[in-house]
Amino acid sequence: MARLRVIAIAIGRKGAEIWAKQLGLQPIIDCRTGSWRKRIAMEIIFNGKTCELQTSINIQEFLDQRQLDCLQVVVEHNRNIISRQRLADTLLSNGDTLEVIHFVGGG
Amino acid sequence: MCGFYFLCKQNFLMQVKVNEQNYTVDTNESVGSVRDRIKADADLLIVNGFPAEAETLLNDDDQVILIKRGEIPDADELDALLTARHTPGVHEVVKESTVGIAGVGGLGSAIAIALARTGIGHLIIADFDIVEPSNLNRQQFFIDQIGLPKVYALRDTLARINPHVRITACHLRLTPTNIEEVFGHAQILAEAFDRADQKVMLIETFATRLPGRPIVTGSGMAGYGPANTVQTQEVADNLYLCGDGCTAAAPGTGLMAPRVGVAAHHQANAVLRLLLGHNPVRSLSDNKGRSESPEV
Repeated sequence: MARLRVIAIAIGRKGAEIWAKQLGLQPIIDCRTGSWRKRIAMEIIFNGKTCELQTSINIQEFLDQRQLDCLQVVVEHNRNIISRQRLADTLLSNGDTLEVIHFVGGG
Repeated sequence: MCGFYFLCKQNFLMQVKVNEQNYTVDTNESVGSVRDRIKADADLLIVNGFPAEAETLLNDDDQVILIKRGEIPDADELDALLTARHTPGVHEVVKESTVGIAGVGGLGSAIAIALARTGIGHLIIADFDIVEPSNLNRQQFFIDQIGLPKVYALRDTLARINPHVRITACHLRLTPTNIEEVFGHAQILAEAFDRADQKVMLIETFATRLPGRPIVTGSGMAGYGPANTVQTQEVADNLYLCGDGCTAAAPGTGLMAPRVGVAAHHQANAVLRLLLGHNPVRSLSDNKGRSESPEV
């Protein structure tokens, strides 16, 4: 991963893309920040259990993959509760802790 | 020798508190004798928080409450009498406390009553709704309050229970733009909304705008499943969830007084424990780790 980053800096984004494609890595450039999105396996702790991710994704994408309705869940990322407006801006990183607390109606 | 003993007995005096006033009484004087001197018409005698017979002998530093049934005491005396059954040290903490309650339906109205009886100093209650007949199956309102805004009806009820609790009643709909203003002074927030998306909105807003303050929320208390499945869990930092976590209000699974009351009192007890510096889930002797989040 570190090597990929170094190469990206050395040969520029476009060059790194071509180079990575030759290796069959299919790099993705984050359209909002322009930063590298790592296409490597990483692990997060999701509701107390280890969970492997193949790509770096944001929390909104993570919830969508698991069909969790963001209107019905409170998300705690690295022990901070985050608002739903920030779900799509927050990328998951290796070693992150994610607690998703589902709520049901009634009171 | 006998005379010496008699002298000592006569001169040996004790300090006791009677209706929160300091009094000097004779060694081994009975509570009945103290009653006859201080409040002869009292017909309920309480020593150190428990009802006592007139013959009960007093000890140094005893706390005595003398009550005449049916008589409404003045404000200072009432304050002392209302707290006569509290564990020592509790009232001093809770009377200086401010707690917010968001929503005063089935959960919020019961939480407010429990906390008012406990002598919480200041309750901030907020709800946009009015009392309807369908609320009366579980919410702490009365037939003669139908049509009133819930926060005003509840404020009146709380004043009848404990007039020393300061109530800030906000008849409004809580939104991300006003939650910080309404609950700015609350040390702890009890979430007591009905809709799941509103619960989430409130928690997200309160936790991000007023970070570090505990939230005690309710989720999963519909139906008449076993009461023992309603639990208090620490689901995130400063977020405690009371309920079974899964039983939603739905057609065929209505909200009913017993189970909603169980969840509400889990919430009220969690608030009280937090105010007193205890973890709502674990006692000090219990070294269990963080409890698991409910299934999602």
